[in-house]
Amino acid sequence: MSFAKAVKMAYKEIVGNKMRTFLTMLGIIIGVSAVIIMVSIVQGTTSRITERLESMGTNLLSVRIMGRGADSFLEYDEVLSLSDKYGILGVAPVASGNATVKYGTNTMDITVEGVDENYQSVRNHTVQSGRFIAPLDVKYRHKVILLGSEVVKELFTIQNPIGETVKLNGSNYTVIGVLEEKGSSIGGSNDEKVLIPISTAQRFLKTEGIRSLFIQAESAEMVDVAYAELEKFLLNRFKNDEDAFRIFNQSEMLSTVNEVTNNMALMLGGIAAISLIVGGIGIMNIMLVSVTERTREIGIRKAIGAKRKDILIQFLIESATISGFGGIIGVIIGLAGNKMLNMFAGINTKSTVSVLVIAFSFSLIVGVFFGIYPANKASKLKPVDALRFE
Amino acid sequence: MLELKYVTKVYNSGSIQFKALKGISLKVDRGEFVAVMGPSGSGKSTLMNILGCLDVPTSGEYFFEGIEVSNFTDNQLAEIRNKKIGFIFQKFNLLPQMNTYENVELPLLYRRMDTAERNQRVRKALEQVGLIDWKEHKPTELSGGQQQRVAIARALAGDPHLILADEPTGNLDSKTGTEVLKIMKDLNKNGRTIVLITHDLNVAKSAKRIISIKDGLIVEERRN
Repeated sequence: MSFAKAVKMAYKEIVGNKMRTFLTMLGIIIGVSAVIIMVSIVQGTTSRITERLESMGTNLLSVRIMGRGADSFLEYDEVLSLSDKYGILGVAPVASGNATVKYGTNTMDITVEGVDENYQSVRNHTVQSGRFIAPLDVKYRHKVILLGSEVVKELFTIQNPIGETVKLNGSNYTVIGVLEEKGSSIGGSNDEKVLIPISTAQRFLKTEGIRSLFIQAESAEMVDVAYAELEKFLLNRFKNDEDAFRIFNQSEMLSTVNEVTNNMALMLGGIAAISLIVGGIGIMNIMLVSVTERTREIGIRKAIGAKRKDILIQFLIESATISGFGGIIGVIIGLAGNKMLNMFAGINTKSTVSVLVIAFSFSLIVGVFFGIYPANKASKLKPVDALRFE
Repeated sequence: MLELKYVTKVYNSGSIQFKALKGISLKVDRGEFVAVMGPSGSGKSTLMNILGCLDVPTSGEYFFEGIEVSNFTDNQLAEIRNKKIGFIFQKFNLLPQMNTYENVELPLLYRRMDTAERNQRVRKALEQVGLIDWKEHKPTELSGGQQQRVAIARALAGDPHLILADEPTGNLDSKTGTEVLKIMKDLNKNGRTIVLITHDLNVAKSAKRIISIKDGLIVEERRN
């Protein structure tokens, strides 16, 4: 019998028993959609975290000089010379502290970061309006300021902040730009901060030298090279004292995050896959009932010449068709569920084609696997006994 | 064409042995119309199962067209049933979910015949029993006589050498029963070998030779 004919026959058999087929399929439908939704949620979360991390700048290393005292900082020029090192694309020193910003009667406590012109490209900050800090601002310690989007919202109601004067702990600063909104990340809100020239900040915060800097590697492959160069320089600089500084590797963090979320996806997907297996047992159960019910049919088929293989294939195709249909419906419901979660619960979901394919093929495999035993039982029936069955 | 030599069949159910056939020797030639007669429990159904390659004898030999088949595997027996034997059962044994056409087509599907030839054979068989206009109907929509004619068409579609009929009129009223027997007589006239199993002497009279069995042994043989 041709495969197409056999599938058609199986389809007829299944359609002839709608309610039972649907209930049997339900296990597979729930299993497949659960796998898809679970994995999509984790993948959605992963991509959101990755996006956040990357919005802080790509291929980023950050250095913090630890300890106190006269020797526990780097000079500004020293830091800038780092950008000549192999593998390093840009260096952005930062001096940060807290302050109160005031405009008119509105005040807000914010983080102040003293930066230079390199900060924009290294940290991947874009200016929503106005301009960024220029080399001349750093050179002449201009009292200019860039505001984060949250700060603008808090201090200014309707007017354009650019050109206005705000007070930072009492002294006047001219607003030259507004930063693009970035959302918060592990390091805190990126929008509740202000940027001023680093030279101005050093004086304002009464700090000496540079204790914090960001370094951008030339490419993802060069991150490790840049890391090594940086470490060599710093060890040399701090007389081989490893505790004098700390380097954070963003890509390392990313890969840690990815590892954790991948494990989570596997775990949740695995739990959901258990329900698929339970669905498979449901199929096996109903197929066994069906074999008993159709003993006479099997006898007739055998009497007129069906071989063991024909009966085996017939029942396998039936169980595979049930699970295959269930799988397709499960994929559709899974995708719809993802959409609904996205729309109504605001949960970020991301389903890749591979997850859909894997979930669907797993359902097919489950159908075939759990169909083997009943199909084999059917194919082994003796025609004489089967024909006698009432 | 068919030859049984000292065939026995023993059923074991637990510790109890039941001898259904106690040594049957029988020869059926090509083109014969033979009736096997006997009361219930005489072993005639067991004999029919063995003749139809649905079961194998416990001992003895069975030659089907000169080939000893009692040691054949399930698949080899299935092939003989499919290509060489057409079955007509008392209970028609049509598949209820399939229509007339599909029921007749089924043995040809198991033979892996191509669509064009299948179609031609099914039509021919249905025309022979006068049911070509009923090909879309399901068995439940047909009368008993019609259902049995579908079964005959199914047996004929494969162009078998032997037609085995097990109480073909048992579930029919006498008028349709006569009709079915007439079809079988016509088939025999066209050269087909027919073995008919029945407990009814009137039915057996349609055959040219009547073999009576009782308690697993042949007790009488006569020609009409």
